[in-house]
Amino acid sequence: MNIAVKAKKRYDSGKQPYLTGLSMGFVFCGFLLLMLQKPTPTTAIMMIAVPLGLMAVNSVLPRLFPMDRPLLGLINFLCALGILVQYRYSVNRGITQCFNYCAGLVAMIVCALAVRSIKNWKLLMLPMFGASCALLALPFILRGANAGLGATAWVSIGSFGMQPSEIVKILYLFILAHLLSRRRVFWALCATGVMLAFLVAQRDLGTAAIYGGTALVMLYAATGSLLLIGGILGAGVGAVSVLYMLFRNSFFLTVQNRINNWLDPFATYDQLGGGYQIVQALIAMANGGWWGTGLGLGNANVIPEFSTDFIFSAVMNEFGLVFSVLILGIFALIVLRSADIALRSASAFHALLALGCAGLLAVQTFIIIGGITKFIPMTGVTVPFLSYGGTSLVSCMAVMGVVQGVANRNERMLREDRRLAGEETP
Amino acid sequence: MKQLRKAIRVCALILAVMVLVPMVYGAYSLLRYGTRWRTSEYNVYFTSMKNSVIPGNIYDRNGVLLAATDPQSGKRVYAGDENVRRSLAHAVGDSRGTVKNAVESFMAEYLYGANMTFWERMKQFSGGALRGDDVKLTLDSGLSAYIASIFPEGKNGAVVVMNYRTGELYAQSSFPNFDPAAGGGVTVSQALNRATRWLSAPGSTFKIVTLTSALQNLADIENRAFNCTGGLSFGEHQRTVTDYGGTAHGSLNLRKAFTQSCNSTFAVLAAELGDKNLRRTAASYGIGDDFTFRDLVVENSAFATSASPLLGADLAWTGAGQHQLALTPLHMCMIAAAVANDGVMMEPRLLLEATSATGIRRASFEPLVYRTALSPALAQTVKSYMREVVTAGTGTRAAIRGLSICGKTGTAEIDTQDKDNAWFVGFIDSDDLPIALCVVVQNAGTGGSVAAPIARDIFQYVSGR
Repeated sequence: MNIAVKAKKRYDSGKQPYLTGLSMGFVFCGFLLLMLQKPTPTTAIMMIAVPLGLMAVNSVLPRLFPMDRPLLGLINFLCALGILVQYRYSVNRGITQCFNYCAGLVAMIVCALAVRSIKNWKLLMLPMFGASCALLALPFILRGANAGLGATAWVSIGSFGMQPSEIVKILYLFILAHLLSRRRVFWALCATGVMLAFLVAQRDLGTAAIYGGTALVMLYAATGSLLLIGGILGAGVGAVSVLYMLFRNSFFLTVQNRINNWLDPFATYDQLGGGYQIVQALIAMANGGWWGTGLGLGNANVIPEFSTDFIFSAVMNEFGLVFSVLILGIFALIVLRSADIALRSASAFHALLALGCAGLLAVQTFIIIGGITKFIPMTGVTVPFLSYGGTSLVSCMAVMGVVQGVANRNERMLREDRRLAGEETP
Repeated sequence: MKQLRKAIRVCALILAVMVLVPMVYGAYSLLRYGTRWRTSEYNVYFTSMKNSVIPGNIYDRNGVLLAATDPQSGKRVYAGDENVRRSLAHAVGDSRGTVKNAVESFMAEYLYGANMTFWERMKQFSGGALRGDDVKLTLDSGLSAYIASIFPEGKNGAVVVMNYRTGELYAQSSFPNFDPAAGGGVTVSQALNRATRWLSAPGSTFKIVTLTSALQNLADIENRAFNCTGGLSFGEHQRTVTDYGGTAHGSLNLRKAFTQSCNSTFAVLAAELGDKNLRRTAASYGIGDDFTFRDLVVENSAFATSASPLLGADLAWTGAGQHQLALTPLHMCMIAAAVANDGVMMEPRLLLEATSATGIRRASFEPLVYRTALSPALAQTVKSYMREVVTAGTGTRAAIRGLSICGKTGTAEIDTQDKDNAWFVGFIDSDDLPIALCVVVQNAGTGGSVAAPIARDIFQYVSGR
């Protein structure tokens, strides 16, 4: 009983009033600054509404549905920062991002409820895999209709566009966690192979890297075998070399191009698809320096796609390097908290699921931040919680919803344990 | 489950570190390259600042105004004398960014007052308009104009003059030049700063490096006798290293080989030293370094296009200053300066001081040691060799009575040109006049006949004789 009580103490870290208060204060000050530069009614409304919304979600949501409050608070802070940075460059995007966030909240709750209540996952595996493949095949089926859009990873129906791979991410986590919790390593590898084949065919290398990286993390956790990971990496290198031989003059030209842009973006600045974007991102970072130009005074909007893939350049530009490191610290905290939830889980399936979510988030953050700081070649993926776009935000919130579901289960198990323990000892 | 928990802990740690690593790298590269990125010609942030800040003035070391902003039109105006304007066009640049990384763009941080404090901004703002910092350069406009007047008409090339004790650049000229006040119509060739951005084989001037390496690595080399027949074959394909004009120098020692610039002997030395030793000495002179100087952007020099060891005739030709060697005139000047300064290579500097409109000293000159190239004793030996080049070797036309001038000529063969590139690097061995220089005239002839007389004129001008 003692153990259960101790665990309970450490686990429920209370209502997090400081986290909520600090987030509210930060967002309020941010909008206030924008207000001072250019007072508009919309900014005034946002200045009040966003902090209040933040407080409402942080305090009300965990009452309706037990959630891990620190995790929720950290996610909400990042989303609020995202809304602020989007709003600073475009009022419309900022407001749309608020609605995206609401949709994300719904996705989060749905995922959490699903993890909490579904018991027989085995039955769902085949339909999930089928749905994943169908969704990933969608861009190919609709390609005729989408000709001229360029990116093959996108599907658009009317004015509504989405990236199926963002939704498949979550299904993929469930499939992998299920197979690995039953030690079906071979099948897990097969499933990963199929998904990666789809993504590479769509030339969505960034997402393929996220899937691959997450699979590696989960495989290592499930098997504890570095030998296996080494073997897979070796096989991966082999597969890439074979592909290189086959598609040297078509697909790999783009890859070569990206590597050239990474090695010396200034040299390829003027070329089509050259280093322009990365150079401007680096310059935005340099203009920001240690302490940033100040909110509303930067010019990160010269970077193409600054609102999605390069949003963190905009953050580095206006808030500076020190602040950016702290923001990445928040990402690291989210990862650590998710892993902590995984550690407390009673079943291997749920532990792997929560760890997979943490891995997904970490790998995605690494790939995009590495890309914009010229640490690794740039592949276009979004920054979790900050980038503009419905699919991206909804999928990230859904992934965090899965973690929340696991946390909720842990909580229930703990309560159960305590009840049983309480009954046994008078 | 126990094993799973352990693995989860390991994964969590790795993932958390992984998230932070790119940003740590970002901070590192910002420290190292931040100024270069910020002052890149692609940065539109400063361009947008031009609307709100009046850029500061640029002066030479004697206070001659080189660039200022006209208060009425807001346009940039340049020095009144056309010769001064033209001769400093590459160093100072213009507001349109015709020359990459010139003072006008590279020192934008000062000129546009990026380091102004909040209070300074408020104080200036109340006075009407924001003014950037004034910048005083180490350059001497009189010397620059003089160099432009004696440089062969219609030839391309570059001249660098620096103080080898402090690293101050007195002149940094590139030909052909252009008039920044004329506006437009500048060709690519005119816009190229040949002193800092033009990489080429330095010819026999590189023998300073080979000589250093030989003195460092080969025992008793000074007493050895060499025999020059005007050419030597190397490697499997028996490709030959020839002496200039096929001259056979006969039997000679190392000193004579250096002063007569004997290719055969230096080819033998390079072959004997091997790729590793020669490359190491070249690296100690900064060849292959990623130059990130504070005040100016200099193209990185290269020993060869790849890191794989050079063999046979390739290595032999490298020892004589040809093959894939690529150096800028400024770097060659730094190499001569290192020999003159007892083996210590100083960082070339362009900024004497920067002062804000409110009178605050933002930056002031301090000599910076770049690296130690060779030991003081060895530097003395190399210096004595270089002295003899001017007294009794190929560089006699650079000699001035009463001045202890040291130097080395170079005649670089370029396949695409009908004539050779003429090089001369040298310095005055004197504490009162610590001047080192590098003269390059492209497509002109031998270093001894074309570049050395220009060097003598410059030395004469500087010493006031």
